[in-house]
Amino acid sequence: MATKAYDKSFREEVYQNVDSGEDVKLCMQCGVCGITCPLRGEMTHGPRQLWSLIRAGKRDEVMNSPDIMLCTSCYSCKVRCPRGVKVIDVMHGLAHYALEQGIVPRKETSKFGKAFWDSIYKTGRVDETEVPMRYTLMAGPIHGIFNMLEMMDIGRALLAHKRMKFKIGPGLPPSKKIKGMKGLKKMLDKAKAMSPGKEG
Amino acid sequence: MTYFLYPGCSLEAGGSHYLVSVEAVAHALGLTLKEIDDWNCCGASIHYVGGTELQTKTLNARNLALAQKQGGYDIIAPCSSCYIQMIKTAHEFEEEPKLAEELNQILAEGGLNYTGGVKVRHILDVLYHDLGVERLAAAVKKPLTGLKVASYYGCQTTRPYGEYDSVENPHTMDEILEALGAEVVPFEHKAKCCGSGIFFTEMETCAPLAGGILGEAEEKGADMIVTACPMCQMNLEIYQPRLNKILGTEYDMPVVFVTQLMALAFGGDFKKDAALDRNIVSAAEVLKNAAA
Amino acid sequence: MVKEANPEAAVYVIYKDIRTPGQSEEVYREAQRKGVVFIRRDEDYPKISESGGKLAIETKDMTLNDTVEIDELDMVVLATGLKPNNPKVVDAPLVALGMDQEAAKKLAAESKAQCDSWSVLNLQYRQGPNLPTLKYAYPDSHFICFPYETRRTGIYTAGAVRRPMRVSQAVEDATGAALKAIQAAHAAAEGVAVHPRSGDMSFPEFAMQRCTQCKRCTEECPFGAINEDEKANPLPNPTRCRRCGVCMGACPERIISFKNYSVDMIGSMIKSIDVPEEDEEKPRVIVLACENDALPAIDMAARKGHKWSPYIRFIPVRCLGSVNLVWIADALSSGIDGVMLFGCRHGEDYQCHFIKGSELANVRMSKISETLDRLVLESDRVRVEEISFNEVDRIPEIISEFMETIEEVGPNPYKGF
Repeated sequence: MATKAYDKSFREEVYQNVDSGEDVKLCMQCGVCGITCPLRGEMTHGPRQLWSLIRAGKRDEVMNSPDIMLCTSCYSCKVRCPRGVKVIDVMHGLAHYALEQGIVPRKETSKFGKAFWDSIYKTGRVDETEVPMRYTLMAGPIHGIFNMLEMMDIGRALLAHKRMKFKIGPGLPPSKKIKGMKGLKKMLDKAKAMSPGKEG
Repeated sequence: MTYFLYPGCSLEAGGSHYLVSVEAVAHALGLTLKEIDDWNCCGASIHYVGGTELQTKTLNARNLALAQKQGGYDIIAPCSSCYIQMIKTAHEFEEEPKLAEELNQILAEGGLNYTGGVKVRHILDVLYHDLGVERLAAAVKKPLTGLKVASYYGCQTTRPYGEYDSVENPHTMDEILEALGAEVVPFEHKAKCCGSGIFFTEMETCAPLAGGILGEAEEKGADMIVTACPMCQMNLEIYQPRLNKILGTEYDMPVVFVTQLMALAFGGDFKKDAALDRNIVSAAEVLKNAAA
Repeated sequence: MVKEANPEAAVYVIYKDIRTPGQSEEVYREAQRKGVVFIRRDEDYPKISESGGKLAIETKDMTLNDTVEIDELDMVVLATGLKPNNPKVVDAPLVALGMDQEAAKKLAAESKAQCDSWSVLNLQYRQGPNLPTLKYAYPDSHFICFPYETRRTGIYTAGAVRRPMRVSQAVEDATGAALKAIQAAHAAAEGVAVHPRSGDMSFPEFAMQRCTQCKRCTEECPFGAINEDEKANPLPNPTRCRRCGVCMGACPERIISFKNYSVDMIGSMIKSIDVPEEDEEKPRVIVLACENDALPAIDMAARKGHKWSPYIRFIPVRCLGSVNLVWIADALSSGIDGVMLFGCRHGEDYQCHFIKGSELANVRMSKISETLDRLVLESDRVRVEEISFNEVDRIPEIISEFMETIEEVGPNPYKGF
């Protein structure tokens, strides 16, 4: 029983809305990316198959694939791809696009990444005390406190070894902003407006 | 020789010992390091969750523009993630005029402009190519004889451009360590991924990666793993007890920055210059044994 | 092209293998850049169906590992492969090697009739109006040394007629074939042979008064140079002749000879060889070596310093196909203990420079083994060996093995008669 495939709307969607999405056109399915990836054992599809699925119009499989957020950005695939496909950038682009659609490929990484970006957007820097705090609290107040307690030993070790600034809680004291924060915010907003994607 | 130093968010916090040792090494070798005034975060590896590609490039373009305005010296980014983000933006700016135009439109919103030309360097690049191994060897006062190290580059020190070293089989740090008098063990995992930015949130998934690195280092008889990336240093070191629980192992391997060893070998102080007191898995024992 | 005319068009290429010779990898890349989607299938051909004026294709998709259907297609283009339209023409005498005569003749006649009915060339050759073919039904030639040649002198093949190739290669190919043709025209004007015996001025001469019309020469000539009249008398065509001597080897009455190469010449050479007496315990073996690969190989072996039995005498011949059975008889009746024939490889990947010579020698030698047995002469005494120029180092081994066999079978019982 044959399944209908290769409707062009999804791949056009990817080419137009996903960062570096057009690179997918050039993949010749050699498989080097898949076999090189350090997390290939954990992935369901892997980059090669994801590009194939995109071209075949399989929207659900691609958007719901956890793989797009399992990329460690090691660049091993990108340096080996014979067609010069920017594998990392497409994976990242797909993850960002999925999140914009409200799909969460990997819950924890999504939450942490959001806290990470919020810190940049508000202060221009990533405060390594603030961000983990906010992230753990994202699980809600009760779970958050439990998570914090679990990470206590690491936090304590870092503090003791002068590798973390002390805070009582998130925002206490508030993170320092860079001087040009206003300008940076304007820049980031403009960049967002110029990016491909639904809000672009 | 003057360079800009771009510490990145990591070196201000989790990688503070990297920062201390980089400054000590620069001092010992006669390099002047200026910090870029009002630099912002580069986006590191999980920028993409919250930001688009263009937004991430904006962050880096701003740093490049500031560097240009403040003197245009080569920027040293000791952190591999910062190195990669900045060099990517710098390269693509030069190669894609359309992108350059877009970035300048964006930079204008903050009253800045960039015309290209600022070079982004990794600390290993500067040490190996600008100074040279001979000069480093000459500066050694307390050689690390008898110390066996596993030279671990990780992924982002040389990939994707392979500007100053091989993307598959790098050697610059190996040679630097040998110049310090240490013995570099053969290490196949030298450029294999530790889990990078998603290690913290996907620890179960990434544990085998870190396990492989620690395992080989132990197998090859290394006293410590030496790295040039704060992400790797953190992943491999501070989560060792967690890793041991997940993998059922008993690793107790110090993970030290190459500049920390350099600071020590150049005659610096264990605490003040090499900041070795800040390593959670202490390297004090192995260093004492080696020097003896 | 479709994409250039209409960038919005959805274009798919369903393939089993992609090969991009020369610079055509760039064509592949450019197609992908424009958004052409390539789908890999397995051995099974896709199914095409029609519905409501549109086409649909159902195919196995190897990268998705699923059978998919692509519908709403306006056009399906089939990529056809190149195939020569010459069915395999079978040489009757050789099919007889292992096949019974009647079946062989029937098969040969059928094949011949098939392509005779629509021949493009319409050659006036006794052997048929078309070029003889071999593997994959491409025209037969010594592919390595003489690629443009065919078994019809003066006819040179170029382009996809002789093997699959692209237009740009065919243009280059045609240049080569044209140059060969010019050579052939010159040779004909001077009355000399073309390759492999370029410049040979001798001709086969037929002493027709002794001809028995057995048709062996007309059928076996690899180049169809001998026609026949209605009474089966051979009618030689000198300009087609390559001077290989296969006809000379075939003729049981030995009526064919060249001014510088004849049955008598080699026969006399054989008969004048000194054969030691039986009690001297020195065997005598002769090697008939073809001039194309075997003789140069032996020469090279000697230069390399290889050593072999001193009881061997070498006699060069033009082609093993020119070896007349009477020479074997002469040799054995002179008391010579063994005869080896060194020649080029035959078979599907043949090397014989006269195409069929080596093969015919093999067939003929296999036929006389019965005769030898009847004369109480071991058939082991006559052996055909394939020697190619890169097997120089094997020669001492082959010779010593044969000498061992000769020692086993003992001296020729006809010595001293």
